[in-house]
Amino acid sequence: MNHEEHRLAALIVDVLNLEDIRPEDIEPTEPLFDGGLNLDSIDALEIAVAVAQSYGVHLRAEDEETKSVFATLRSLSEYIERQVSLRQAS
Amino acid sequence: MMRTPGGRLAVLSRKPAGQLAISGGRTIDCGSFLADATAWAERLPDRPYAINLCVDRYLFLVGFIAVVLRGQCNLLLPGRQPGTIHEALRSFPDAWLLHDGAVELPDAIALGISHGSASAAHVGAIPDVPGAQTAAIVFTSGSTGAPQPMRKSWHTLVEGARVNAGYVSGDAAGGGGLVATVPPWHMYGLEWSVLFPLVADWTIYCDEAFFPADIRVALGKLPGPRVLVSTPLHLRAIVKSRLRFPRVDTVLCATAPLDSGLARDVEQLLSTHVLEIYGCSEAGSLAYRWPVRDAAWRFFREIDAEMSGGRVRVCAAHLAETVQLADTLEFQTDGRFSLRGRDGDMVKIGGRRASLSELNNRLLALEGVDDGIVFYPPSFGLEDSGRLSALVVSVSRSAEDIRQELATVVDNVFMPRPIRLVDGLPRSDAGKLRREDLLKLLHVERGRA
Repeated sequence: MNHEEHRLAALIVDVLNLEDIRPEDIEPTEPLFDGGLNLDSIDALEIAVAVAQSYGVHLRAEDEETKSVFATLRSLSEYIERQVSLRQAS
Repeated sequence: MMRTPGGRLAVLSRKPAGQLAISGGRTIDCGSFLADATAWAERLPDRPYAINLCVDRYLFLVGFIAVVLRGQCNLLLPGRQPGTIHEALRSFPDAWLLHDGAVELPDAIALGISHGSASAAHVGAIPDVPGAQTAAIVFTSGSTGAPQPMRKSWHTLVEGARVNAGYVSGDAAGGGGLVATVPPWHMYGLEWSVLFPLVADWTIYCDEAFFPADIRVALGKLPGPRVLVSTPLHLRAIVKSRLRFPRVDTVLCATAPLDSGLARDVEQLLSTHVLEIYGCSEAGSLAYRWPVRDAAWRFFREIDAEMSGGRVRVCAAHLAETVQLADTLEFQTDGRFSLRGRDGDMVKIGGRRASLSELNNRLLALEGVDDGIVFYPPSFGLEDSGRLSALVVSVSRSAEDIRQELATVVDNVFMPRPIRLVDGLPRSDAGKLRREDLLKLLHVERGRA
């Protein structure tokens, strides 16, 4: 788990009150939703709000990409990094 | 509603030339929608009940009307878990599965519907169906625990939708655009995002409208006036997103109590007014309030309410029978009322309602579970997204193991988080459990974990 993934994992654990889980327990390549942490759509909404507030990145379900973005901690973290660097470049 | 001879009611009672939906980025007019629905209706399996599992709102709508046109009934399950679908098939052995490929299906008769793949039949006159036909069965957790099927006649659905439409369309009889953040298969979403556009000249946005950024795009694509059908959870996300939104004429909010501060923030951000809707699966939408102006609720004019033995019963021309409400209401002299709590067994999370005793029965039914209880965590009630907790006694199974099996029959939002294994529950001599004792035990086990 790299630094950015750990930061995002800590944000997820905090915003979802996953008190049984430490950020480092989240396997970066495991599914976040089906299986894995067993998160649901309410959690997705909470994560989207936290990501918007912490990174200024707005997730959309309409993007074909978003389904794969939300697949794992790693994919979500990479997506956020891409969006942040795109914004900085523009 | 236009009544036709023999008590038949048209499947659409609005101007046929109007735009019904936006789906896949395209505008769909009433004629194309009817062509889709009638073409699919001819291809449905010849069975009485269709478990409508479509997730795409437009396909749900097409499937729903195709089923009704064919003289069948839509079964609308509370969730999409494999166990929930299995149970429905056990209770309705002659049901089949109507889907759009978004849900994992058990082995049963199924038909997948998709966009633009039915032969485009030309539809002349708007078809009608008997008002007395059971068009849908929705399920709610009754006070006894087990989900109760509630039959909705076509008459009840369309006349109820017309009553509802009167409270938002008002002088906007020319129509407008609707965006819903709630799924179409629960009563609130069914009424306001599926049935409403069938009886009023409004366009329903059927593409994604879940995250704030999606909702913003959706609103931008619709003609005005705009109505947003939503929940406190989504509205809180909208406010926290710090995005700018197009002007919305009316925001409807239901499923959980709306804080008046949040209502005020939403009114400012969307230049709108927020109406909170009160209703139940048994009777549909019943009352409204404008939380920034008045904390009290008013029943729709079409609803008659009466007190009977401390409980409130409602009836209306569109309802087949009188419905007793699960909530305690306190009336003022002018007929306005306040909500004073719910039946203690019912929990509501993310807009969905479940019975605690049913959840407990589910837990105790698992093999290897000797004792256990699902209960409210301490923070429950402050946030709509508050979760349940469970304490379980089992010598042969792990908490993870129990969680996985429970997840096959319990909707994700009602899954206890955490599930903790304990040596025993602090039951009194009478077998009762005190909430303080449970919280203490949860706290101790948390410290140990």
